[in-house]
Amino acid sequence: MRRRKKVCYFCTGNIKKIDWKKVDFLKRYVMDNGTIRPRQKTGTCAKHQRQLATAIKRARYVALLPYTTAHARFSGFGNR
Amino acid sequence: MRDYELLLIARPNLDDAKVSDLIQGVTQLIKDHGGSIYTTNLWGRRKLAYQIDKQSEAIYILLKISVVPTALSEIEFSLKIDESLLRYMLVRDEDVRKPRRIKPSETEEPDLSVEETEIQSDLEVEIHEDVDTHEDVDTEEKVDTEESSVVVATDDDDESKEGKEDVVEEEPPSETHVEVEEVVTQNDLPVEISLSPHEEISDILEESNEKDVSPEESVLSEKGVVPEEDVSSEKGVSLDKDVLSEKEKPISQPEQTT
Repeated sequence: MRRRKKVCYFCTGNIKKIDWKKVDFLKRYVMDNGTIRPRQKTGTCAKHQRQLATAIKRARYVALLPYTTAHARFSGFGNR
Repeated sequence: MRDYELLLIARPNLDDAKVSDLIQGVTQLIKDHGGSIYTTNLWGRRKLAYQIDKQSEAIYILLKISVVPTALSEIEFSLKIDESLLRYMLVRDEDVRKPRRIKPSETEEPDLSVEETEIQSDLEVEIHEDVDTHEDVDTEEKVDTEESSVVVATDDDDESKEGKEDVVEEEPPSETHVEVEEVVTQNDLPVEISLSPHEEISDILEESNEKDVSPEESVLSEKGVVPEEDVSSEKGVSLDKDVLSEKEKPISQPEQTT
């Protein structure tokens, strides 16, 4: 049995807007290989998971977040 | 005019003068299309999460602009041509500071929805996965909030009308009550035959003045007992007599016609 967080973090009202510019915050919802963490693990509700995914994808497009592991490994030595 | 966020990713080999030239050029471009610029935020040189055009660094510039949506295609076209840019992104600004919009259904405002749908469970949220229904929900919620809290914004004529309509809708029940009472007191004539309106009338009379009801019933049951209850005025008694006399008439009239 996997324990699931009962309350969505965004529904608690702390976050009013899921901003694609807040990279450090979005990294909490991205795995090390760059994929978006599933909401079964983060406890995010469906509505905010959609907004979160949009924000992460926007951050990916402008190279604030990596798409894949290869991109994540890129940081520093420039191999692709 | 809509608000947009425009993120420019410039090539890292630009010096400060060229960066300022770029910003001025884009600013002029937007102003040429009738737009305005709220803020210009130069993030500066930043390491990319992945290589773009074999560049591992880039200069980030964030503009918050307000443009007519029809001008976007031309703006984007000239941004694509610009060789000093590695990439750009133009997205709708969902800023909190401007929650009031002319068409709230078209704007994506997660802020309000987050605040107001806190109570909703996950199941209810999952139902609204379609964009259209989602927008509808947002509009309804906004209307509610705007009615509850008095809105000072200029563009809210429609909403104020809605509020007025609601006020108007609240009044009629009282008017109808008044009308019903008048009907009861003035013309008892057509009422006697059908039972249901008579019941309503008796209820209303009980509410208004119970004194008139008791003589009626007493008259209906026992004709001679009426004067014993002196509580009712002479008018009540006379009306009751009229009622009785006119009750008999409609029964007799159809017999005559047939």
